[in-house]
Amino acid sequence: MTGSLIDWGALRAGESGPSARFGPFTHAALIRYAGALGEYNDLHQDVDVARATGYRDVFAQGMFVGGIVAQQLWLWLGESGRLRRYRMRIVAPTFRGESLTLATVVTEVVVGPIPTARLDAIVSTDSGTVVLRAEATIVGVA
Amino acid sequence: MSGASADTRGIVPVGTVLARIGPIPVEWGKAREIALALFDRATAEGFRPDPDVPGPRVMPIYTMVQSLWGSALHDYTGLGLDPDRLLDGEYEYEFLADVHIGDWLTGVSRLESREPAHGRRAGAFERITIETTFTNQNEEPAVIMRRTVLQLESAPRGEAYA
Repeated sequence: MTGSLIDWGALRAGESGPSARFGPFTHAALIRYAGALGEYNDLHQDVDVARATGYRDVFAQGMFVGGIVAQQLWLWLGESGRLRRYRMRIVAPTFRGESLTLATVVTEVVVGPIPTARLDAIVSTDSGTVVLRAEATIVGVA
Repeated sequence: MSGASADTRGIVPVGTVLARIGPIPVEWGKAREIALALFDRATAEGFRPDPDVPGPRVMPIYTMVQSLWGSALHDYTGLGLDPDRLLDGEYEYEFLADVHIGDWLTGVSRLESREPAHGRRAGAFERITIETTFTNQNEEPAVIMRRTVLQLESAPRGEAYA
């Protein structure tokens, strides 16, 4: 797996980490994720079930969005570090057809033989609805 | 499958082993499929089996999704969890060791905590945290997963997310 190398010496709190735009979360994408990860809850696949439960449409599995964020962090780190801790909370559903934007910011950097850093991540829809918040701790490779 | 509606708090003490998972293989094809599902075609293309090349590291989600391991939360008998009344709370992961294609992972899930709580919109509910530790074929801890769910007194409606 290749990726860009992080310059740990230049990393500063307040800087942006990885950012990305992904989607749209088509019906096919939701079903493809369900098949790949084994999450077959009908809320994410069957429009009639979703609407009967009170949702306006099918929506993405929470880990679908959370997994994409972890994936982006993993890609950003490449061989220059490891994702050490990841904490996420889904705050709103991502409905079919929506696209999402990930924004991250470095909140802390600890310099040392094995540097560490913390980042905050927010994922939001095009209309500005925040769907996920996450915190991550990354470490440099010895 | 719906869980029992009886109040089972206190029946399953904190620390109880709820499930043993696996061993589960970390496979080329599944890693490729997952990457594609995450809109990451480039990573998926990198997962090409080569018998002469040691298995590469896999991305974090491979070990994050509990459903991959066949242990849906409400399958934990004795907890009295009703999937119709559950809301996702929080997920937390500690990645302790690289996981590679070719690894085998074994998980043990325990009830970490179960506490009553009260929310402005949700009213009275329970906050339940289950911790799963995955070890690899060398018995090294690889991933610790903590999943917190909220069990409401009644089924949530979609409007709760509007």
